[in-house]
Amino acid sequence: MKITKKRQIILALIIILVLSMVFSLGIGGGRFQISDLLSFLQPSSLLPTEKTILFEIRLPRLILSVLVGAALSLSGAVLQGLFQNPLVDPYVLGISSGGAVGAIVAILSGISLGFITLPLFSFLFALATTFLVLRLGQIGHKMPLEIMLLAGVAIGFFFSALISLGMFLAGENLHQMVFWIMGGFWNSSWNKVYTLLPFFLIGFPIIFSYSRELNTFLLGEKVAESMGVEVEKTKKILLIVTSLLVAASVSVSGVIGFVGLVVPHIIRIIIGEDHRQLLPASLFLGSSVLLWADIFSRTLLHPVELPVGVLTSLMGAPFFIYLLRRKKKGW
Amino acid sequence: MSFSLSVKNLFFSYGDRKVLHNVNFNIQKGDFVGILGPNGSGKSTLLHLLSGLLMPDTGSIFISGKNTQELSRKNWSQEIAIVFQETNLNLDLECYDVIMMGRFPHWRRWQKENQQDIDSVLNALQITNTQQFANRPFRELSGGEKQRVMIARALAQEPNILLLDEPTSHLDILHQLDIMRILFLLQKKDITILGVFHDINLVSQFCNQVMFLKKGVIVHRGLVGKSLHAPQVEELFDVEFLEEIHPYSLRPFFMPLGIVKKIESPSASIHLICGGGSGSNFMKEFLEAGFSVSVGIVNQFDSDQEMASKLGIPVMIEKPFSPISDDNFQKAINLAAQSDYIFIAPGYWGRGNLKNLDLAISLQERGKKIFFLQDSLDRNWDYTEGLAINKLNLLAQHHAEVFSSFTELIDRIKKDCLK
Amino acid sequence: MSKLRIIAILTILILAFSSTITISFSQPLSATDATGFTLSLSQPPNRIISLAPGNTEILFALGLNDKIVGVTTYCDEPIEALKKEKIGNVTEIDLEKILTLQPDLILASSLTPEETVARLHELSLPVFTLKSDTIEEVIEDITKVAVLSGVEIPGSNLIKTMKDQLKKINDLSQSIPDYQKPLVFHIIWHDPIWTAGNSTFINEFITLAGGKNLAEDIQGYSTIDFEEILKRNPSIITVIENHGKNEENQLYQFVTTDNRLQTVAAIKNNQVYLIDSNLVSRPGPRVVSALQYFAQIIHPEIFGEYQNQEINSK
Repeated sequence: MKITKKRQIILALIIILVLSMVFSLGIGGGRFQISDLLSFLQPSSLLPTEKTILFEIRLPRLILSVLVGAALSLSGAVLQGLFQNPLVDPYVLGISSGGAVGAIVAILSGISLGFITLPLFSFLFALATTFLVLRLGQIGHKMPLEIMLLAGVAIGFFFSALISLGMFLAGENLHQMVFWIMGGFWNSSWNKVYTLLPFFLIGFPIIFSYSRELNTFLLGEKVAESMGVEVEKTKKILLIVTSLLVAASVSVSGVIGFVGLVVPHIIRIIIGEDHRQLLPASLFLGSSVLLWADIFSRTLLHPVELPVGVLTSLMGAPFFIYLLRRKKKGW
Repeated sequence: MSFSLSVKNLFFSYGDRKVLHNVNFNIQKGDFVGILGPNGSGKSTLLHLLSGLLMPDTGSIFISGKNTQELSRKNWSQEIAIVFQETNLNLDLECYDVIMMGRFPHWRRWQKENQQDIDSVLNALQITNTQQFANRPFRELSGGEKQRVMIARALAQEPNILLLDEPTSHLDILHQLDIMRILFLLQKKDITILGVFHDINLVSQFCNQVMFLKKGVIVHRGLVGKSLHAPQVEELFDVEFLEEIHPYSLRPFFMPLGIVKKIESPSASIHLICGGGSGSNFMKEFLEAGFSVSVGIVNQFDSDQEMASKLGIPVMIEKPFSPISDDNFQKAINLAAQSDYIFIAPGYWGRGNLKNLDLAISLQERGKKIFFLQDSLDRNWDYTEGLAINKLNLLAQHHAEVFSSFTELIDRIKKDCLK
Repeated sequence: MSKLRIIAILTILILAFSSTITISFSQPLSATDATGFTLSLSQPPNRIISLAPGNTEILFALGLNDKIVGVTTYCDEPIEALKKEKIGNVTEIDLEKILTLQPDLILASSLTPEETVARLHELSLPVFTLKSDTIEEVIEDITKVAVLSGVEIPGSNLIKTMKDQLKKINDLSQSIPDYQKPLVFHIIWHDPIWTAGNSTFINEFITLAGGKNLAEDIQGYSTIDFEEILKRNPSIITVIENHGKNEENQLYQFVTTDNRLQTVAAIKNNQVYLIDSNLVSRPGPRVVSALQYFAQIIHPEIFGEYQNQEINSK
């Protein structure tokens, strides 16, 4: 596919994202109301309650879902490129189980540092898990990725057991744990947006600057290194940056699956493996996907809210299967 | 004189296992060096060290005069590029993009592709004759075509030295030659090439220098014309080779004989009376059966004589086109007397070689066992008006053993040996 | 009056009396539980096991504390219950322990796993399941337990008290016109926002107390869109107070300090009340007390001020 066509697709994805964001501003009360949308333009004419709804609840929620969607799909694309393994998702280094254990520890211990308690615990545990896996997967100065994958799997199993234990001990706090793990944007606030933003502003450019390195990984680590790529350094930097992004996302919105695994694959089928287009395209598509999943989670059973992770899988799986079948038949 | 590549006192081991031992050599710009050696000799490891994928235990490598320890990863890749054995990668990327990746060592982090990069890629496409693949996905190419694209990728790095690790091993003959020709022509662009090859003849036909690596040590080095000959090759691989001159390229050409070195302790020795090509097959059969062989008397330039000489078999030679002299007759008897058995190969008899039958008779009188095949008694092969058949019958009457097949004969000798 | 007549009347009276006594003694102890299972006991139980904290409270309230031989780890009310033998928690029950205790009555609840109940039946143990969704049903369940345990008198006292209280509150709140029924939002957790919709006890408490449940269009316990809370603007918020987990009640902190809730009437008018979670989540003898608290919170002008010691310490 020519590069101009790829760029057009990315542009289309950006437009879709922007339109979706605008659209979601008008979603309230279980349906789209254009009056809500117009209200954004005249904030001074609003009652305090209406203003709070639009600017303190709806707006940060939409931004959060966009950021998390971007972070997860970008990280998924990068990790799939690093590991050269299509089954890899953002949680491959045990981040999700680490984050969940962190949340559970926060809940069970009863320690309260205010509202940042759960996110902070989850973030720290998620990071600790990742670094544990990175350490385990390191041999000398090198990071053989197959070993790291196995370490991630092993740690994941162990933490899953801890999570089960935690749930068993939870008693009346069980539903809290379950919902945290299921993931959702129910409690989005500007605080959460502000805590995430620095990770994204720093992480995204770093990742994009390594697009060409990731392309060389397609040829194999040996060839990449012979072409001047500092392979171990690249692995380290990308693993750390994606871990930070994912840990931050998990700490504010729980474990949302599917987006990080499948969105990059969808883009690969449409655009191809060149990371210079794959990365930005995954980012924009992932944002839109999660945004729409959140829109549905808010509206399908209004006023009840569904967990967004359920919706991402329900929406995405059939579409992905459709794409796979198209690919098998050949373009 | 500054060398393109200079290696001094290079040592490398994988843990306890020593792989390379005190490797030293210099290579000039534009040399095309073929590295030969048996498995496990460290050839591949050497290339990995030269390209910086492995670090030596001790020793230094100088590329274009610069010590590699002072080179950054990028700079190293600007000097040396390496192509590996095979790529069974299934990339959707277009070949142009794959080759463009080779420009990586010349880029800074946020630097965009410029005209120089494009020119480099186009040049690489042209040299490797892969222009028609530029816009096709890499995965659609055949193995040989992929290798050419990989070489183009390496060339896009604009290296001074190109390393190749068995680049043709998995390719069909057409693509093998394709690639060797490309490499051969690269010399004209002043690119130094070091290639590890499994095929001796690719080296002999295309390289100008050869390096023999055995058990981590360079055992031999030099120009192909001087250093690449049967004795050196045999010592390197522990296999016997027949060396010929390739009629077209006029470079040496090697054919393995399939016999594993000289038999240290033969179980029996046989003197073979033959000529005109009748004995060549039997020489081989006897050697493979583990017997030692001597041959005689044959004229010079007779094909049996040439085969015997090449096989290193003691042979009694008469002047070309001449009848057997008495002197040589006596020498032949002395030679044959050392053998356990005498075997007369079935073939044509004429005035020229009739005396070989007298040789047999004399040997029989000395108590030597004479063997020949039933086929020899066929009159059609006798151009001496019955004299040869008479001599053969005479031999038979005096207890020469006549076998109906050669396998019988071999079995018989083997049985004797067991006693 | 002739002596004969007096003797005759006395005899009839004695016979009548004794017959009532014998009638009451010969009546079987039998009741049908929520699963349709009818349990009949030949004599009042002496070794009772409770599989839920609410059931334990019922047993104590009926004066059966001496007969209790096993309770769950969650049974903490009254305090004496903590001293009883433990047979597990509400969902994981030690069947072996139960067998060794040789109970003659086991009170299960809606939280007891069905397989456990089925297993108890298989082992021919006398298990009786209490399941109630309304206050009326709780009172019925208490009655059944009283019947089964042969404690009519303390039982009927308790039941009568509960019924009277219920009626009193009901009568008073019936007369409240719709427009005077404040919108009440009951929050169970904030992350996600968790509330009680219709078909829950909370809903009944709020409604019978003369209020309107903000989440009445939602079925059961559920999440709710944050925006709806603001839109519907409750005038009262009741906050569940969890036991022992947090020194400072996280949920209460959230409700009173989150900037997004500042525009809500309940926050502006300082109408946020803490409610003991056990009080409102256990189908037991205290359900009417719970209703009472809700009534005081929602209509203090009718039912009196709501006193919750914990709030005073804030």
